[in-house]
Amino acid sequence: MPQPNNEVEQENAGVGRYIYAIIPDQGQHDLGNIGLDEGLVYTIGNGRVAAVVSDLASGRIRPQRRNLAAHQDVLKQLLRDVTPLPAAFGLLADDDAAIARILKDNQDAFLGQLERVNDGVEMGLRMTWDVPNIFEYFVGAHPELQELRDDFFRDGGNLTQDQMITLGRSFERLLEQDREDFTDQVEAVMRTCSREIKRNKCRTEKEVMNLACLVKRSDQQRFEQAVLQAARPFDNNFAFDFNGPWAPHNFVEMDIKL
Amino acid sequence: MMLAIGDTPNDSEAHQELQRVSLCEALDRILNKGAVISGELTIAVANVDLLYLSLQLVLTSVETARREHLHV
Repeated sequence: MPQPNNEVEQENAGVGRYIYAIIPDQGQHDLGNIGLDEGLVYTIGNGRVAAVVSDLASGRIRPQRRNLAAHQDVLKQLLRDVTPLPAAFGLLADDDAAIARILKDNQDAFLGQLERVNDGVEMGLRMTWDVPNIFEYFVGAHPELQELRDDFFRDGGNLTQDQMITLGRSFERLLEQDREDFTDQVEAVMRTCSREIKRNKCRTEKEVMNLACLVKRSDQQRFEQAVLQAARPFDNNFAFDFNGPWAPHNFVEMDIKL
Repeated sequence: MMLAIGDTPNDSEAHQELQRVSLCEALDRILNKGAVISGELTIAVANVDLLYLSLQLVLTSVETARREHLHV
C-alpha cells in the first residue's frame, strides 16, 4: 500500500486525493508515477468499486497542458484493461475517509454506470462541410436561398437591416435542417455498431455533427467500416473524421448531491 | 486516429495535425465531461466553465485560421 509522504503532509495541511476515475474494485494496485506532479497513481477500493487517485500536495491545480495530459494519460492507461468512469478534470477529495464515503454513498450509482459502459469505449465522429466558404456553399446548394439573395441584391447591393436578418434566418434554418437530416442518415448507419450514440453541440458553422458513440471494444473495426459506409453517399464537400478510443466521457451521467 | 475521406495525410505536418486534433478532442472531454460528484469533493480548478469557454474560443479561432491559411 502506498505510504503518504509524511513530510509533505506535515508541511501542507491541504494535501488531498486527486480523482481520475472510478473502476470496479479489483484489489489494490498502482499504475506507477504517472499522475499529476508525477504522483503515484493507485486505487482505493471498498470491495465493489474503487477510486483511482494520486496524492496532491496543493489544493489548487493549474489547468496546464502538463496536468491535463497527466489526467488524460491515466485514463488511457486504465482503458487498456477496464472501462473506467472518467472523472472531470480537477476533482479533489480531502483524504481517504472522504473517498471511502464517496464510494459507499454512491456505490449503486457507480455500479449502474459501470455496467452501462462495461466492455465499451467511446469513439468520436465528426462530420464537417469541407468547403472554403460555408455561406457561398449553402447559396449554391439551396435554390431558395439563392433566389432570396438575388432578389435582395437586385437593387445594387445595399441590404436593409430587415433583409439581412431574413437572409441570416434562412441560412440558419437550412443549416439546422441539413444537420438534422444528415445526422439522422449517418446515425442510422452508426447504430449498427454502437450501443449508444450521443449528439454533441457543433462548435462551428462548418460542423455538420459531432457524435460520441459507445462501442464494444471488439467492435472498433466495425465502427471504422461503418464510418466508411456512412460517408459513401456524401461527396467531396463533406469530411468525416473519427477519433478514439476514449474512456466513456460522454456516457457518464453523474452529478450526485450528497 | 483520424480519417479524412478523400484525403490521405502521411507527411509530418499531417501527423502534427492529427496530434492537434487529438489534443482538442481530449481537452473537450476531460474539461467538459465525466463524473462530477459534489459534496465531498473540491473542484480544485478555478472557473472550469470559464476556462472551457475560452478554450472553445481559442480552438475555434485556430481552426478558422488554419482553414483560411489552407485556402489562400
